[in-house]
Amino acid sequence: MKNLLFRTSAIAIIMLGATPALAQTGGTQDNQEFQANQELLSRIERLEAELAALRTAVQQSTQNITTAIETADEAQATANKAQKAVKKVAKVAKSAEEWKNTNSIIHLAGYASAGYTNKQNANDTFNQVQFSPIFHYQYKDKVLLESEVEFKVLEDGSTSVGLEYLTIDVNLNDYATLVMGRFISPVGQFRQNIHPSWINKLPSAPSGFGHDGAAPSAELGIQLRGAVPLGAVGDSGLRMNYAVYVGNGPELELEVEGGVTEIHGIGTAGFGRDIDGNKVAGGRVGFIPIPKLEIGLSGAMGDTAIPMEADRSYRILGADFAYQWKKFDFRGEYVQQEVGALSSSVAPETWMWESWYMQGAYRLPRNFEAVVRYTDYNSPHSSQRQEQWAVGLNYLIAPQVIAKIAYEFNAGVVGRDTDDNRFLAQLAYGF
Amino acid sequence: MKNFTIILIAVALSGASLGLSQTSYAAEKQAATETKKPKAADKAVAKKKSKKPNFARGAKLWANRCTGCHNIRAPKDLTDSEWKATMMHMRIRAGLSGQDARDILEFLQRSN
Repeated sequence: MKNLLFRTSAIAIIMLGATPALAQTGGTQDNQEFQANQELLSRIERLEAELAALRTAVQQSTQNITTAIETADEAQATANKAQKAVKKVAKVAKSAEEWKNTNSIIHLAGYASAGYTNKQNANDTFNQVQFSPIFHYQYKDKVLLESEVEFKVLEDGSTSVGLEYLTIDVNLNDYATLVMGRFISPVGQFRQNIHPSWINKLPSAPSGFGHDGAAPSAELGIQLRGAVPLGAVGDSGLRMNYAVYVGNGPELELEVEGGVTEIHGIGTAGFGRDIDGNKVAGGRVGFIPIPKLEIGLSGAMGDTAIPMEADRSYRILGADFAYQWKKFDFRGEYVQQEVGALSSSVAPETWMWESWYMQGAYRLPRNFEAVVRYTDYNSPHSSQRQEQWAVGLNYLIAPQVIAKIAYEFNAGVVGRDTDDNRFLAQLAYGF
Repeated sequence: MKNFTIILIAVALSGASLGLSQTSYAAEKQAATETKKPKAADKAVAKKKSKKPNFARGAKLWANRCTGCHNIRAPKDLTDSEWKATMMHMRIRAGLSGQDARDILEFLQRSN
């Protein structure tokens, strides 16, 4: 019994003793589990956070990749465009280069004008309608074919067409060019260089310098012209230019006035025949002693005739100058044509036409230009003689597009139209 | 006068033929020159160099010579090709030497 009790007590004691221990052991385990759970939770949270970060990163990357793809597409498109542009530029450059370096060049130049005239003792009228295209066909630096065709509206509404000049010019070397065909007379400056309406500073030509006046218009023949630098080659100083020609020469125009046969004028249109069988030879020499000053001397001699009559002598003399100083432009010219006497002729006397003019122009502000010109034209026929003062004001729309107004004070034989003053307006275009 | 005219035309045309033939065979001559002794080659190079267009001279001549007759036109008015034909025309009309025309053309083509 004692043993049983002892044993029971012992068991009880052990049990009682074991209970706290057991209890103690169970709590540690729970703590550990709890901690483990906590750690696990923390880890899961961390992992979730990492996962979220990764998702964001992946989304960002996807977005970046999309953007990159779009950018690449755009870049490709731009590259394609650039490639096309480069091809186009290359094509244009090639064509430009071909055009630049081609052996033959076709070029159109020229001038045109339209105007208005209000003349004393006449109705005012719109006129001066003229179109003068100049065709250039060039082969390398050797040959130039050039031709000016003149279209003019006449008073009756019809249109006159004329071949002002046609020449084939061959450059022999740096100092000489051979010109053959119908050419503008190289005598003086006005006829060969100043007569185009966009160059002439007044709407009209000086008296005697138009067609069939004192200055010869054209010649049909052969001409040698060029320039020689008198200083060092390439220097912009002293120079000389020249033009010498041989041509068919002029024909004399007859007129019967008051029962008397007279030589009305010297036809110098550049005839395609030579009625007297003798040629006229002449030319001009120009000197440029300093830049912007040119002095020229001209002359020609030969024979001419009235159709069905014997030959008679023919002579031209001329002198000209042009000078530019600051905003001033000065120029002047003298020319004389003389037909010698012929006793067997219906008009046996010596006949002489002469004219000269001086012109000054000044460039005003705002593209305006003031011009004044004096001309004195003497003819064997009193009806042709004229003394003229012309004043003008120009507006340069562009250097080659000019609006002009001018007033001419004319003095001729009273009652003749050469005595009537005129107001002129003109629009001139050079191209 | 008749004989004088015939002689003048003959001289002018032979001059033209001579001038043209010289120009036509310029390349062959140049090639031949290159193979000759150095002194001749130097001369040919110097000659070629002296004919080279000069921009600065062209600018001066453009300002001085063109105004002799007409209002000066800006280089931008025309294309290179148009200036080429225009300068050929002006060389003959205004009495310019070949070198003057080349100089002015150089200025105009580089300034347009």
